[in-house]
Amino acid sequence: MKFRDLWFEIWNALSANKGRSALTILGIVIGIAAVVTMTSLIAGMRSSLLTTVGANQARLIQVASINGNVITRDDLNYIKEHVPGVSYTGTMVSGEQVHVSTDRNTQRGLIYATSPGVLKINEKTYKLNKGRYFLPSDSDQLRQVAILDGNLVKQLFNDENADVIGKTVSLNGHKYSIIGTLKPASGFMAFGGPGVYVPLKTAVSRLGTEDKYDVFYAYVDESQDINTAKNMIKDTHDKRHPVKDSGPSQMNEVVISTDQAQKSNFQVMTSEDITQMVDSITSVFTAILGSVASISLIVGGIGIMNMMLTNVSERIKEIGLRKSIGAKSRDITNQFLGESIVLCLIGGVIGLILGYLAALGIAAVLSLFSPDMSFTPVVTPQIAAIAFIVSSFIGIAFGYGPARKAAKLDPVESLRHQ
Amino acid sequence: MANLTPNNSGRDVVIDVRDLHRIFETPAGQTHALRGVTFQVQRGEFVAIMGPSGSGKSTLMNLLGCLDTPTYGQYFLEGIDVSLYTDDELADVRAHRIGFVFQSFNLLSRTTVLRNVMLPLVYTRAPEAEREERAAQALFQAGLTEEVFDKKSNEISGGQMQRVAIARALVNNPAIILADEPTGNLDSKTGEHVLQTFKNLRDQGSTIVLITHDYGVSLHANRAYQIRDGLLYEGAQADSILSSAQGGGSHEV
Repeated sequence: MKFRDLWFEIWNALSANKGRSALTILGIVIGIAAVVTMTSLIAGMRSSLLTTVGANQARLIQVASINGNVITRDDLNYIKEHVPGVSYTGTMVSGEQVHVSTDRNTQRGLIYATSPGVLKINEKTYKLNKGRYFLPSDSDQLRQVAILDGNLVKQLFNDENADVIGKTVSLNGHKYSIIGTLKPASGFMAFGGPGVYVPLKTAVSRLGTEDKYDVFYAYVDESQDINTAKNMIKDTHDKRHPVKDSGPSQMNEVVISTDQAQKSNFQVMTSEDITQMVDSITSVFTAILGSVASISLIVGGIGIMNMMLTNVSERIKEIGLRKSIGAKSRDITNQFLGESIVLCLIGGVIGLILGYLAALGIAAVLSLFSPDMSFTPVVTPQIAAIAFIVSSFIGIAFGYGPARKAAKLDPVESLRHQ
Repeated sequence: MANLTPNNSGRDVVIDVRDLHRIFETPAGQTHALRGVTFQVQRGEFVAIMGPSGSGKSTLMNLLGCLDTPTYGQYFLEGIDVSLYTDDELADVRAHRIGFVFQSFNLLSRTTVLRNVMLPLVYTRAPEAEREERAAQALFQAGLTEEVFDKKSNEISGGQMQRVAIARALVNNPAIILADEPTGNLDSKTGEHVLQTFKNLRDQGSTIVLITHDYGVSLHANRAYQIRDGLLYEGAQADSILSSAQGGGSHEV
């Protein structure tokens, strides 16, 4: 039997009873939709989380303090001078919540004391909307300038895209000139409230921010392998701040690099390390929730098998007729198996669409209750491929038995069937 | 290679059955449905095989139609011994050489008349460009007109349905047309029309074997056999079957 003929016979049989076909695939639709909803929500959260933790900068290394060890400006300078390939070091320190006021409006914002360049090298996370990033002179000259997050701009000026460059805001009574605005933070980035970014030295000098950090960033240029730079930064920093041999550490030491066998006061991570860490968490959630949702797929598959068996029983005479006019057993198998697979694929496509819509709905509801938690669900090509493969597998697995039963029917008995 | 048996009329032998036996194993024991059937049908003949229920006529039809295989004996179809064929080989024989006409028509109700007649062409993998034309020609040959082509089977009469079934049987130009009680579900007038269709096909060169329990139907054939208790009896003319049935004794081949 030619493929075109097979396709025609399959489609002809399925469309002869559209209502039954629709009911048959309902279990598959629900199962695939459940899996897609779960996985796309987790994928969206992952994407948002990766952006928040700065995992999208391939040449950036983050050094975070553990065990309470502080990082100073001298540490930053030392790393920059002594580690080959490191062209920039900087930090961002979150300060206190302050009143941010215009002459008409007052909102609350969170101070971020920022080294010049930190926002720029993290520009995928801190996307500039209007104006400019900080210059070194802004910090060196203790200028009272600020960059506002887009959410704060909207709260103060009713429009996140308002041209407020050059306008003045008051931070706890001190006047600061707006030199830039960022696109509104979303997802986990928005956690804690909208940000007001101020040059580091200005914040230390005028807003009482402590000149001690628990994280810093190092930008590695193309001349140096990122993992080599990471190891050198770690070794250099560990030598400057060795672990004191005073008993068990007070905090868990999370070692990301596979070759970091020794204890350290610092966690040094490339964007790849951060991504792996996030993935190790999200993949567990994906596996657990996906498995639970998959149970409904098994139920759907049983429904398919049940309906295909009924189908075979109702079409015994047709099977006998086809055999009498020359259909071989494999033609019958292919036809009924094909009907099962096509049904499941249609169910898979519908489930994929409905699953994504459901994920959008759930994300929208979540953002209503907790605006800080807003994110966009993502249907990755992998999710779509899995939906396709799983649907096909169910069609084959649960359709094969009925198809073989149909093929084995005796044509004489089938033609006699009432 | 075909092994053609010489015959009186000079026409070749399409069906050559030699000592055909069919034994069924049942929970109650063995059933010897055919006990050594031997006969021939030549090309262009219209032959009737008549018998009551349980006589073995359905078993014989299934063997002639390659829906079943004999327990022993030989069946030559156009000179080819099909008695030892595999299931797939028998399927090919059914597709290319045999056309079935059933008592209950067995049309697919979800497709049109034309599509029903085209269905056997799917299994012979006939070129798609030819299928509609061949199906149309077969329908004309069976005495139908274009106005029924796009109708579904539940939109036409019983007589028309049987003609569609005849067209379906013809579409692959088979060696034989096997008709199993083709008028069984029709009124007498419609049945007469269908039988006339068979005679027309015979006149056009088709070879027809018709299975029936009705001796009146068998009168339309050139020759008739009677089957009783798994054995075949030939009547030189159909009348002889009637007279033997009325107490003239059986005529064993």
